[in-house]
Amino acid sequence: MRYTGACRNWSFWCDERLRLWVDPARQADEEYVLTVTELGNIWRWREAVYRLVARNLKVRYKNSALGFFWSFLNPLMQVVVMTIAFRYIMGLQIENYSAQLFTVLLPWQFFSQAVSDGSVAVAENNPLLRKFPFPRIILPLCTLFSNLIHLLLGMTVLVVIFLALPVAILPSFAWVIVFMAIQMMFMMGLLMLVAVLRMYYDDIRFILEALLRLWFYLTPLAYNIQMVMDSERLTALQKQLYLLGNPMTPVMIGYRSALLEGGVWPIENFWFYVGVSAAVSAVVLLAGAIVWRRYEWQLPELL
Amino acid sequence: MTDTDWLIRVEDLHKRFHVRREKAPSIKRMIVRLLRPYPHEILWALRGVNLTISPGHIVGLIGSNGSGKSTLLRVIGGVYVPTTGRVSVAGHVGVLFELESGFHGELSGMDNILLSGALMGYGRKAIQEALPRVLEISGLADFVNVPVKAYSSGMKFRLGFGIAMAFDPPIVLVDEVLAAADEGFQRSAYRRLEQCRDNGAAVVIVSHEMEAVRKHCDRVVWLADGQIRSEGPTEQVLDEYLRWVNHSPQKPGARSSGHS
Repeated sequence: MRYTGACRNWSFWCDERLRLWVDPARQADEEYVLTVTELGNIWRWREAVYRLVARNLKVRYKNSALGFFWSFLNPLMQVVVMTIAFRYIMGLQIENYSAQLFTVLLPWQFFSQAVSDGSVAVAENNPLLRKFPFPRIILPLCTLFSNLIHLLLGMTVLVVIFLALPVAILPSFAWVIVFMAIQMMFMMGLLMLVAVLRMYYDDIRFILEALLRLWFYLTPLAYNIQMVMDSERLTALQKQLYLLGNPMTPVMIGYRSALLEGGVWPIENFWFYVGVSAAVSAVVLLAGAIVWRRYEWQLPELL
Repeated sequence: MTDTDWLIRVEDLHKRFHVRREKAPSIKRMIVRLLRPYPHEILWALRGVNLTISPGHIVGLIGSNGSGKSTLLRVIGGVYVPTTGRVSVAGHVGVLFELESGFHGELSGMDNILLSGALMGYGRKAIQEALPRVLEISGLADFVNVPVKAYSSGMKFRLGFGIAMAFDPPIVLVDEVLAAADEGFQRSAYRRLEQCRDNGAAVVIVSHEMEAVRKHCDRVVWLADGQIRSEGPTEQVLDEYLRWVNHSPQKPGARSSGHS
């Protein structure tokens, strides 16, 4: 088996039997491609992934059992505030508005929190990068995983709340897995891009924060997609752009329908839009991977 | 420990850094740069280093500031990638640089040990087995459940040292850090390094303390300007080095640099 590039010597790290050494020489400026070998490397480094995710969550929940519920308070408050503002003050006519908000706010928080975490993840872990030669991809991966666990905990709470609300638990919940997969593909690509950009440009954090705020309102979260499709001010072209240009739109529509409407998709050709979203996400993931590979071993030098 | 007659082999190693004139440029700067790339300095930290280190040696790495000692150590440690050339290491590397960093203050000492061990590439079982040794070497058994932010810098140092040494790495890289420890711990640290050597490990120490180098190292490598100026038995190279220091005027920033 031929290892090339900086990852070549990982082969012997974890395997004591290989300690008697397979040439672990490394050379920069040599091309190497994403291979199964490398995914195997991530598996070999699962203990590091586990410990880093555990650390992220411990820090986030401040080492306390109630920590998760404190962090759940934030989206809960957001739902309360938005329900009061949009439903009762502005008179938005949407049934079950709070439940609708909840179903998309949690995945959205997953998205925005992970991407903004990603912009600092590598920079914050620079002391680790300067000390240990672990595969660098672990860092964005762990940002993704720890936020995913946070989402899953949130979803569990959501289901418990559903039991209290007049909402049925439906088999269409299973579709959530598809939307989650597309979303995570998109996020992983963004995470790698953002993490490298952050090494070069400190400002990226602030720009990202502003962009995410704008993005929040460009995605059907506070309102639902029927309102956009029924709008008379928007042209057909604008509606198409709205659906095609933002990979998060079909995903969020999907979450909401799968969790609340039993998988009755509210727009025509729904799966076509989901397909486009998945394709765009795959392109972003690929772009992220290419940029990441180019820079991953220079990260500690860049700060 | 291994079948090879060397543990570290460095072949024609070059390492180049791009030094940006401004730290952390902004987006505005990026746009300007897209139009007209601003010149950055290229720094060759290492320029053609060849080095072989065999088992059972403590090697001192000496040279003035900016001669490339730390860079060389980090390339061997695998956190920097060579620009050209090859670096081979025949086993796990225990790193003793930036000992006090890399810990998360909010987490307990135990959690930090588990994390560091995993990032060094050890599996869960190996880490569990090494745990008692970490505590023994660092002498922190009573504080292991305390968050690291409450540790003194000496305690963090002990923790880092314990983690690096507990796994019996066949290669140990030490960057300057021992000077920061108190006399007693320093002595036991050197004793441990000598024990490692006697067990067949290769130990590389970067140090400015000539007395410590004279006392503990079997061989010395003198780096100057990113190249090896001299290499050999401790006394011989140290004499050469000290003669050079005494006779040449101090040139601060003796790094060579050029514009791209």
